[in-house]
Formats: sequence, structure tokens, C-alpha cells
Amino acid sequence: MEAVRSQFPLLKREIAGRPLVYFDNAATSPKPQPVIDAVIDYMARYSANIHRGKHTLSEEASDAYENSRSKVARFFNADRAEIAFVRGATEAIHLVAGGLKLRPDENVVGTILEHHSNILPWSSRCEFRAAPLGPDGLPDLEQAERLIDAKTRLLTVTHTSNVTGAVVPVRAWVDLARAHGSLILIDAAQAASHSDIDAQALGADFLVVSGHKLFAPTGIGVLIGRREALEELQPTPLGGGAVSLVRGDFSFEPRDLPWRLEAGTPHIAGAIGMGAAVDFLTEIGMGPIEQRNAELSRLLYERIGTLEGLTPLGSSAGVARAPILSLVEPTGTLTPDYLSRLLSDSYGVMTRGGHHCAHPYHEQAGVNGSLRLSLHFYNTEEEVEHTARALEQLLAMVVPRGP
Amino acid sequence: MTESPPRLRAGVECVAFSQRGLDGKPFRWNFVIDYRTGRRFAVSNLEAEIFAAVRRCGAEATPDRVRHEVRVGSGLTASDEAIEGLVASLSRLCLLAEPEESAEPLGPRQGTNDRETYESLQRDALSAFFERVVGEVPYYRDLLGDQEPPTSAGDLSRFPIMNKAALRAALPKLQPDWLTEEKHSVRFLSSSGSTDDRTQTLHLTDELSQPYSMGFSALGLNPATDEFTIAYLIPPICSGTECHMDMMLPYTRRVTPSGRLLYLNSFRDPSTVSDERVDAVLDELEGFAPSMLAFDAAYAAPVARRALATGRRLPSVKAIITSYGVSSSLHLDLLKKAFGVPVHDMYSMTEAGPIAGSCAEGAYHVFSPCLVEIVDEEGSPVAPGEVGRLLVTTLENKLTPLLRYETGDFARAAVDRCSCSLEHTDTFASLEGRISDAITDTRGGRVVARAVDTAVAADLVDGALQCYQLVQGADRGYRLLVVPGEAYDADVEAALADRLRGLLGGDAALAIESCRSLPPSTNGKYRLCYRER
Ligand SMILES: Cc1ncc(COP(=O)(O)O)c(C=O)c1O
Repeated sequence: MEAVRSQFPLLKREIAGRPLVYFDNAATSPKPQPVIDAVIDYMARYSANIHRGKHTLSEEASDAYENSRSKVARFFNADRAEIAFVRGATEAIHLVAGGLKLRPDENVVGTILEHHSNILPWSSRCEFRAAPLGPDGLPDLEQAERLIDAKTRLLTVTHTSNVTGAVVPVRAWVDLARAHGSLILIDAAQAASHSDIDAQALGADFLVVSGHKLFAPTGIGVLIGRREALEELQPTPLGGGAVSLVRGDFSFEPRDLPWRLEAGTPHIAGAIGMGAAVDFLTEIGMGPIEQRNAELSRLLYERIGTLEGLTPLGSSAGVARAPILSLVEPTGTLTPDYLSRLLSDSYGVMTRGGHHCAHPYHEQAGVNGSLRLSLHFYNTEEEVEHTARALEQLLAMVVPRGP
Repeated sequence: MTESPPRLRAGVECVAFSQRGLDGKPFRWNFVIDYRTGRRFAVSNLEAEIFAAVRRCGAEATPDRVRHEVRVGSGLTASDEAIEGLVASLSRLCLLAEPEESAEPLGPRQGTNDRETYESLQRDALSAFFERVVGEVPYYRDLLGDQEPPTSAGDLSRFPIMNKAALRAALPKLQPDWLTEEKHSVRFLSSSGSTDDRTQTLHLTDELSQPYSMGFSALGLNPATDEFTIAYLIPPICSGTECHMDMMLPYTRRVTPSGRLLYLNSFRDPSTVSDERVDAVLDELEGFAPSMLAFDAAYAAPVARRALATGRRLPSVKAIITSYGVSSSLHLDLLKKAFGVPVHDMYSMTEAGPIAGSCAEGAYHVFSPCLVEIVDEEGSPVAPGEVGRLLVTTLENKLTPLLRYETGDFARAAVDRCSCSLEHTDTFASLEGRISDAITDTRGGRVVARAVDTAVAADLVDGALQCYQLVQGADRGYRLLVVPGEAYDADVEAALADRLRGLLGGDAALAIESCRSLPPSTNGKYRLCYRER
């Protein structure tokens, strides 16, 4: 573990007089040294545009960029042509929503658990219908089925909730979509670094991934699609790099997949960093990471999820959960923002207070925001204990335990 | 010390008002009203008890009996010295004895304390503070358990200074033992700013309203009437990140439940706000007709400028209170001109509450629940008239009590006692700017925001500048960024260059750049100067 931790320079930083505890992985992950090195190497040694020039640096940069695509493809067991680099999950969803040319009278069926980024791209173009949660805290599949009708173009669900950590059995959602002849998009922004995702086995039409939650730089992510589904998308936006020819009358020939979906100079450094990030994860192994996260999740829920004076949000214990836990202090004295600031300033624990871009979820739960602790495999039992004690101290200040 | 038996004069009454505070919580005001002369005094609870005791004793009042009555009747703890001092000062104000022919006519802001009594109360409060925090607050028990209590404010310099990082790290240990034993209504407060600056502190809900009201009171701005309404125009944000704090912020709850506070619709950047937005603020002001204004001067400046330019009538208010850091005299002068009332600066901090307020003479009077020190690098008091770091000790905060807390501000120590009616209080001459904003001159000497403002803005042609910021580059060059006003021209620019060379050194590499906008920093505050890092 120390060997892994030593690869994250961020963890050496001290806040509140101690090495910081980074429990905000769901917002973005810390960057390991190999990712930092890969980005610096590109910028320092072969910074050049890709696919266009014929000089040495351009060749090197193009190779590295495409090599990253291969690595990411292998990581998700997808074909190279099925991986389009984008800015992140949000842009990937927009690419699909825009490419489907949705009409206002059509609809997309999703769930109340979704991140704003998996609601607004749809609701701004057509009707968005949200399936509620079942008693176990997972989106209710049967209710979702009832929302599907002849005008349903696509079904979408998050693979892993960024608020409650609940892991949705997405296979059943893919089957549901198939049964109704609609497309399916899985939001794997959180899941990608927590679960071993096999795109082919899953068989979803679209999978969206943010690199920065997968130990890669910000501003890079991928849209993974079944080739036929991607072919159907009308590429928006268009521009250099996305076309092979523009004629005198400005008609054009789109390039092959995936490049037709990558108009303009992409985030080359980010893509190269993402290649390094999946190498980093592969080296450790997604199997061991999943196992480690299951342990951390259990500890997190047992030690912190049961603290007197805090109410955990979310799923029941039987549900598989990533090590993500959101809490509220019901008296309202310790609002999520205060909890988060206090944990940071007095204990060096980085967490997130707020709505985590999931207003609809918090609204149906009847709370105004929550404190989220999101861990990853490199976090330790000591860090959980330190945070638990910190919360105990803070709670003692507002919720006396005496007679 | 008075040895003559205290008697109440005819026509003098002490009345208590129970009132909702600025945040809607009840608290008590005591007023002594001299119906014969129309004088009115805000008095402390202790003074009110002395009054009641003198009344109860009637013709039998002796100094001894009055002392006894005060203790029995009120349960307040005060030393003999303090009670006698107060009796004496009440007497000197002609409230207890028949007025002497020679007594000066007294203004309505006349306080009831004299310096000697003030100091004696301060000593009492300080030793009570020390005893309390060492007794019940783990942080101070560990830190000071074996030390002798301070004997006077001047004696504080032998104790350690607490900075913001220490406060952040020690927060739970800064709470008294009893907090976790019984149920209390508490609230966290969070200061503005980011990493190095911000703090979280815990307070008893009941203690939050009082000090601010007392602050206004100390400035003679507390007519205990329902017409006391305040309109705020302050930065709409306090940090660069999204805010979910439970504070009343503009855009969410505009008028408080009591109907007495209005948060005017603020804007992010006073240097680019449109005339329409400013007119909307003026409409709101007119509709609310407040009796007081609480402004960030930089945000209020466009409002004042617009009102002057369009000849629009402004509400008639008693005073303007500024806060939120050192304001430029460009903006203060504009406010005085537009509203035609005095501007008082209220110096307060989230962690400590109100610390001091500036009087009509411009001096800062320290509010009695606080002690202020102005110290040099070593923590020793600076000489009168010198600039140093401002430390505050909060004598009354039950939760998160602060001893020699580093405010992060520079202030200038007073030279003489102030000649205003608050002359008995501790004072300092001025606030000089954030420590973190200070720049250096070409020889490495410290230059504070106030000095920059004096150089740039003092006696400048009217309307020459809307706002400015002096930036010291990492390479030691300086850039003065200005948003020019209608009277800006080459002469003004040359004058500014001269003035800044005078401040920074004749050899200063200086560029003056005109800008169309000059946005405030991410915490919403305007910095008059800063150094790029
Ligand atoms: C479940 C989920 N979906 C989508 C997103 C949006 O990702 P990005 O901001 O990287 O586009 C996030 C990020 O918080 C997320 O957690």
C-alpha cells in the first residue's frame, strides 16, 4: 500500500498539520506520478499537433495519442474504433444526445439517481422521464419499464451512484432496453475506476467515462459505443479532424470512426495521460482494486455510516456499494458545507459538501445537500478512523451526549 | 470614588427595552433618560442595576448599601472598585446628584464611563476571562495552565499569539468542557476567503446578535425604535466555490423576517455593473427607506456615482457603516458626498464579532468585549503612531474564546486619546490593510494598503478614478491598474506616477494601465494592492 500511495504526490501535502486525507475521489481522483510524467513528457519533448503534420514530433504525438486509445480500448474491452476521446462524461452524453437528433415529442427514460450531466442533455432536447428509487435505494426497473413507450428513444442509468455509491445491476437495464428496442446509455463516470467494465460483455450502446475520475487529467474522457450505434450518430460538432474532404460546395465526407467524433485539436496531453492512467490501474489490477474497495466500503459504512448524530443517505446494506457515503446531520447545525470545511480545516480531510450535481436525488430524499466521503483503493483504514474520530468530535460540539 | 451618598435626581428614569436583535433574537437594551434635559444614554446591564439599587435604597442610600443591593439584586459579579467607579461616573453625568451650575452641557452621545472605571472593568473582565478559559477550555488549560493570570491589558504580551492555522487545528479543543455535557443552541460561522484565510468557529446562538447591536450602540447609532432599519450592499459571494451556507445571502432571502434588514440586490463586479442594475438598487433603496446603510464602499460607489450624476434623491439615513476591509478614500468621499452623512467603519471578524468602530473623528474605538493589541514582529506593542499586526482577545465569547488572535490586519496605534465622547475607551488610529496584501517598496520596505490609498487617492481631482489596484509583479515591477473616471487625463496620470514613485522609490519600474474593468478578488473583496506570487 505504501508503494502505491507514494506514487501520489498530492498525498504528501500537509493540511491542518498532517498529511492530507483525500476523500473526494468521486469529484476527481488524485494524479499518480506516471500520469504526471506522461503529460510532462509530451509537453516537454514532443509537443505537436496530431494527424496533420508529417514531421517527427507530429508522428510521435500521433502515435502516443493513438496508442492511448488502444490502451483505453483494451482496458474496457472495446474496439479502437469504438473509443472517441471527449472532454468527459458530460460531453460524451451531449455527443450522443445531439447525434440522435432527438425531437421534443420523443423521450428518454432515466432515473432520479442521475447526475445533472445525465439529465440536462436529454431534458433540454426532449422529454426526460425519471424512474424513482425502490426500497433498496436502487432505481426501480419495473417502474422504468412502465415509463417506456413508443416515443422512447433511449434508456439511461448510472452504473454507480456518485452520491450513494450504489452499484446498479446495469445488465438488467441493457436487457430492458433491448426488449423494447430502444438504445441504452450507461453513465460509467464513477464506475470506470471502481469496477472492471467489459464493454463487449455488457453490450450497451453507449458508455460514458470521465478520465479525471480515473486518475487521468481533467478535460479528457471517452465515449465508448457499439460501432453500429456510433455510426448512427450525426457527428456534432463538425470541423477539422472530423472530415476527410470538404468539396467546393462545402459538402463533406466524414472520416471513419472514431475520428469523425473528434472535431478540432483534441486534448492530446490529456489523452496521453489517460493512457498512462489505465496502465497504472492495469498494473495494480482491477480485480484487486474492486476487492480493496469492497473492504473500504464495508468499513466506511460500518464505522462512519453508523455514527450517532449523522444519517446516511442511500441504499440498503444488501446492495453493492462503491466506497462512497453521503451523510446529513439532521439538526442542521452542521450543514454539509460546515462539515466539509471543518473536516478540511481542522482535520485535513478533503470531502465534498453540497448536492454533488444531483439536486433531484436530494430533493426526493428531502434533504438540502449532504456531506460526501468518497474513497478509493489507496485510502487507508487509519484515514477512515481519523475521519470517524473527527466527526465524533464535531458532533459532540453540537449534539451533546450527556444525560 | 464618591463618598457622598448617591441619590437619584428627579426626572431621571432607567428603562429597559426588550427588543429583537438584528437577527430576530431578543435581547435587552437599557436606557437612562433624563427627561428634564432630554438626554438619553445607553447603559450596560450593570449600570442599570446600580440605578435600580439606588432607587430601592431611596433616602437610605449609602455607598455600602448600594454595593450590597447591586450584588443581591442582580446576581452580577463586579468588584467594589467597578461599582464605585460606575456610581461616580453616573454622578458626574448629573444623573444621580443635582446638576452643578458648572457642569458642561452634555450631548446625547455622552457615555457614562470614565477611563479609570473602564480600565478597572477591563482588568476584572480579563482576569475573569483567564480564569474561565484555563478552567474550562482544554486548549488553554494545556497552553496556560501553569501561568499567572494577566494583571492588565498591557500584561498580555507574555502570552502566545494564535494564528488562523492554530485556530483551525485547535477548534474542537477551543470549546469549553460543558459544551458536550448539556444541550445548547449553537451555530457555526465561516469566514470568507480560501485556504490560508478562512476559518470556522462555533458560537452560542444567543451571543450572536448582541455584539453587533452593541457595536452600533457604541457609535451612538442605537435609537431603540422600530424605525431602525438597515440596507446592506455587500459582495454577493465570499469565496470562489459554490456556497450552500445557511447565511442570508443576496438572491436568496432578501428581507429578513423582522423586516428590518434588506439585502440590496448585489452584483459581482462593481467596475462593470450596468446603469440599469444600479438604478434597480436605487429603486430598492427608495422603496425600503432604511435609516442606516451598511456598505462595502467599493460596491456602493457606483450607486453613489449614479445618484450624483442623475440628481436622483437618496433616502435620508443617519449614517453609513462600512466594513469588509480598508476602503479607498475615493469611494468613501463619494459616499459622503452622495448621502451627506458620516461614514463609520465597523471593524469586525467572523471569529471575534465586532471589534471596533470608527467615530466621527476617525479613530477606532475598541468595543468593550474585546481587547486589541498592535504588535511588532516579536509580539511586543508598537510605539504610538506606528503600524503593527492587530491582535484581538475576545473576553466574552463563551465558545471559541480567542486570546491574542492574529487578525491578519495591520493597524496604526493611536497617538493621543480621542476627543470624542467615547474618549474613555481603548482606541487605535486606523486600519492599514490586510497583512497578506502588503507590498514592498524598491528597498524592500513594507507598504500597506492604506499607504497606497493615501498616495493614489488623497486629494485627487474629483472624478479622476473610479477604482484602482496596485500590483507588485513577481519581478518587483509595479503596475497601477486604473478604471479612469471622466476627469482622467495625462496630467492625472503623470501625477499618479509621481506619487507612486514617492511611495515606492524613485527607481520603481512602474506602468499605469487603464482598464475597462477591475473585478474584485474571488472572495468578493476589493484589494487596493497585492503582490503576485
Ligand atoms: C455519475 C456521474 N455522471 C457524470 C458526471 C459528469 O462528469 P464530468 O464532469 O467529468 O463530465 C459525474 C461527475 O461528477 C458523475 O459522478
